[in-house]
Amino acid sequence: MGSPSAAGVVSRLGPHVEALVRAVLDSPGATTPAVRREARDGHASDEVFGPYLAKVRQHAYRVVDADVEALTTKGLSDDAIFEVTVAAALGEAEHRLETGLSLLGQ
Amino acid sequence: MRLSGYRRLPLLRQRAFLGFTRLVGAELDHVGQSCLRRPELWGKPMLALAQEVLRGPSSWTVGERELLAAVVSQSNSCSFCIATHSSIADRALPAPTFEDWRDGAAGPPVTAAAQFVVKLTTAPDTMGPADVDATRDAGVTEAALAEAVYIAFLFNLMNRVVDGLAFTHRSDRDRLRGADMLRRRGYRLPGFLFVRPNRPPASIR
Repeated sequence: MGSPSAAGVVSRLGPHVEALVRAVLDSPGATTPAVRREARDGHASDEVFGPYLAKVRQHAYRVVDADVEALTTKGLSDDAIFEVTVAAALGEAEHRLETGLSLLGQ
Repeated sequence: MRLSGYRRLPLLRQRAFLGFTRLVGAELDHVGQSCLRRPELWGKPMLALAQEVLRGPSSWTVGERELLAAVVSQSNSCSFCIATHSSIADRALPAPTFEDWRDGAAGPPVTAAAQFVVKLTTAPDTMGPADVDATRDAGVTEAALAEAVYIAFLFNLMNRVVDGLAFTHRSDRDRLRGADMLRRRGYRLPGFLFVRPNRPPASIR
């Protein structure tokens, strides 16, 4: 176990992260929670989302307008694109949070 | 902003508020606008986390936390977040530090924590106990390192959303004034701007 003070940080900030994760994955939206979970876990359909979500996860600064336009052309709404973008970003952020806290024994 | 429908806020009160921020030369940026457009799924919980991580009780000063945010953003090559958070850090710290952080300008503990969050951002699967030891040797407590990890979480999320959707500032003046507002007032938006979400369109899949 890590020090009590590190545990105190986790007990203070952890619930905020959990609330955000719940909101992103389970709030009413244009996509289903299942689609958002797939995006979060890196398992979203390439057929639907093309290279866009992989770019968001790996090097978001390389995303170009055409990547998003391709999704719009396929019929995805702005709300749907926003939701899967946030979900994919969340998955990468969670991976780093879990890695960092595990090193602290949390 | 790549989502054309998100370029216009849905409610009159939100558009009026945005107009006010434009008038004072500190336009609410696309992050803030996205929070107003999607308050339940995104804005409220994300801002609550940001406020607690960046302005709540901490082992780090506000300037040090903003510097760590800028460092994470630099590791993700997120120009938008680098610009905002390095500006806040450089104003909040005793002296501008972001450009020289790798040279130790912020002092041993901040520099060690910054190196830790850089590796956590760019190569998380290569990290091990030695990375924690290096921060401990520089005087970083486990609580302070845990706080740095939450900053890394927040900006690994935010950088990807910002660059995936091409969030921008209207001008450099708006960016600088907006950063100063964030430095002074934190990550809260007036409650009257948040309303129940619009009924979503039919689900896909």
